[in-house]
Amino acid sequence: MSTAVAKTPAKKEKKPGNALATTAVHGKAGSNHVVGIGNMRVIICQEGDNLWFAQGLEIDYAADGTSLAEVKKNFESGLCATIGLHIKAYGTIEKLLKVAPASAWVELLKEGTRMRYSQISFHEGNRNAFCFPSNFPFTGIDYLERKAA
Amino acid sequence: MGDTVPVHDVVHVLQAKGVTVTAVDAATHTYVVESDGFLEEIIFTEQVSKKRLQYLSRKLSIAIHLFWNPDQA
Repeated sequence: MSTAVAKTPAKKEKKPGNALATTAVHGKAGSNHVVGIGNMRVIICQEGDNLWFAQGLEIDYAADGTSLAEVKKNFESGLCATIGLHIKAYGTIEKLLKVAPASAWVELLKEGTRMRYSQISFHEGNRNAFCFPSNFPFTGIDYLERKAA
Repeated sequence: MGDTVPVHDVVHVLQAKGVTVTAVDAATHTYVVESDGFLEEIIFTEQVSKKRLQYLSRKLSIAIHLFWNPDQA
């Protein structure tokens, strides 16, 4: 009998900082689904006087709004509805879990401030989802704001 | 070329390029946009920003200039 022993790689020391891993959890019981998105970063840009654009980093989803408050609200409700669409269409959220390409956000990272926000949503069969983003303080998504030049 | 495009022109271009666009709430410009694995609910602004057009162009492989020239779509 032979036993393969793999050498355990040396543990890398974590660098100091406040980096938090983005998490996505999808639980299912029958036709009921619960989805949690945690610590997701979002870049928000102002374009002109009254146009705002939000781009997710760990999830390549975007939203628009005519104010900072509206773009955040639209990001939350749009992402929640999109999660529901994916659950209905595919039964999973795997196709949503794609990181935005660097070309989409690297320039925006140069400026901005960070906030964090997390979202939990419940999806029951074909009924509308119950989303709980706004009841939480924006402590789960990094919002990186950039004002128009 | 302006920086923004009316939402109805954006919807026209998407549909002309074979993307399924279904109105959820026309009053708030909320649409379900679907094409080849892309499936999102999008709440547009009445005037769609250049960054949104870049996003749609990138994810749906539609030439961005078509949004400013919807008659060419």
